Amino acid sequence: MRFKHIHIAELATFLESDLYLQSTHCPISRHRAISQINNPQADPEDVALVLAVEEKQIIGYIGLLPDRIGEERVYWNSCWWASDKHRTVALPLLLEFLKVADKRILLTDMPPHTEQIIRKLKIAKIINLPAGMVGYVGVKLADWLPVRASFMKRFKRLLQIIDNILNTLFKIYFKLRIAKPTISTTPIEQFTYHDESFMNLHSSGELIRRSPEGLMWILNYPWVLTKGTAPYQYDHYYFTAVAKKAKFELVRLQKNNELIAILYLRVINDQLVAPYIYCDRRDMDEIARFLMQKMLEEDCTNILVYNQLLKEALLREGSFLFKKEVARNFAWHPSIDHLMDVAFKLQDGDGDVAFC
Amino acid sequence: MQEIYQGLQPIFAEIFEDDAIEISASTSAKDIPLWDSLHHVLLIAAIEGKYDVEFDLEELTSMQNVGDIVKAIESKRNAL
Repeated sequence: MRFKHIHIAELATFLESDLYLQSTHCPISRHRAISQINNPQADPEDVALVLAVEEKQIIGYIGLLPDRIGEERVYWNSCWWASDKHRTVALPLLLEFLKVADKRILLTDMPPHTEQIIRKLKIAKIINLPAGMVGYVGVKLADWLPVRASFMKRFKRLLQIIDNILNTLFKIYFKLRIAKPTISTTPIEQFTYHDESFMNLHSSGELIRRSPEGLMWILNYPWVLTKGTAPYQYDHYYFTAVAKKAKFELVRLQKNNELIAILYLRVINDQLVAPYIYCDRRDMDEIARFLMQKMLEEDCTNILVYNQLLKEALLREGSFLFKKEVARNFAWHPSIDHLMDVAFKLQDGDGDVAFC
Repeated sequence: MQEIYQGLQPIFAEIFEDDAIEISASTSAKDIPLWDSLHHVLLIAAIEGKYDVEFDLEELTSMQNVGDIVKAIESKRNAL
């Protein structure tokens, strides 16, 4: 077994290599690779992917997403996988990730398995961020019930019909119930000087400060494509690459012709997320009303939010069938302790969460 | 060294939830389905606790089978 590092500058060539084309397991989707190539925070010599290779096959990999805190380089972990037959390569890959990143690592949204490993190995400080919320305005009985009772799989088609009927009724109910926002929205195709100033004004305390260029990169180079538009199949890629619906927007919200918010929005399948929000806290109620309407327009069944001010506003201004609390973790290696302000803020989209 | 193998036996049985497990120098993840990265870390943590030793990440990742683990324990004990 050997490790192979794929640098940002090598990604395009790698996509045409025998190793990529002939390996059973795909380590990165083409559109994710293209997104990495266009990352304004990345340098060509940054490593984007560490592969574990044996007999010309990829048996494991770990991904890096270059970013900056201020002027200092850091790396988010963006994926980590080892094949079942080669499970023992997982930890060496983690070690290699640490070496390549010079230990300047950040992790967020770790699944329980990964979090346990990181905790036991004591290679990063882990904190639990304030709990988020998934608020539901619709149902997916066809997905939920078979998980709880396997015999329900036989009734999937019937459950889908019931979902459609119920969600249509719920949509009518919520449209009547939720106060309409009194704002106008315009898509951002190019940031103006005023937009940029507004973003700067509402970014104080953020650990990772996105620039307009950064937001345009996230918007224009998504990691998830709508099924049918993705030019390649990803049967053996174990991370999200294609979804039934994948929609991304960057919008200005204006009230009485005054800019009150800039939002980056993401709809993947039936879930709405606002990975980036720039606004005055006094306008959060208006934004909550806008997002409730947006959920209905996009036929979403739920919204996921970690931003505490938005969560409180949604609970005040919104209406839900039911809600579920969700945890979010965040971790960093002690070598970058000096970059962590006492009370830093994270936006919901920081890390690779903006993408998927 | 035999006493280390005997000491490891119950740890393996507990971590991999199999009282019938039998370990030898060549026993590796290929032989035990539950032996993934998380269970490897849990296994080593249990071993560290029992033998009052500490392995760094490099040592941990270099242990490919029970024989490697036993040698690493012996090496740590001899260093103390």
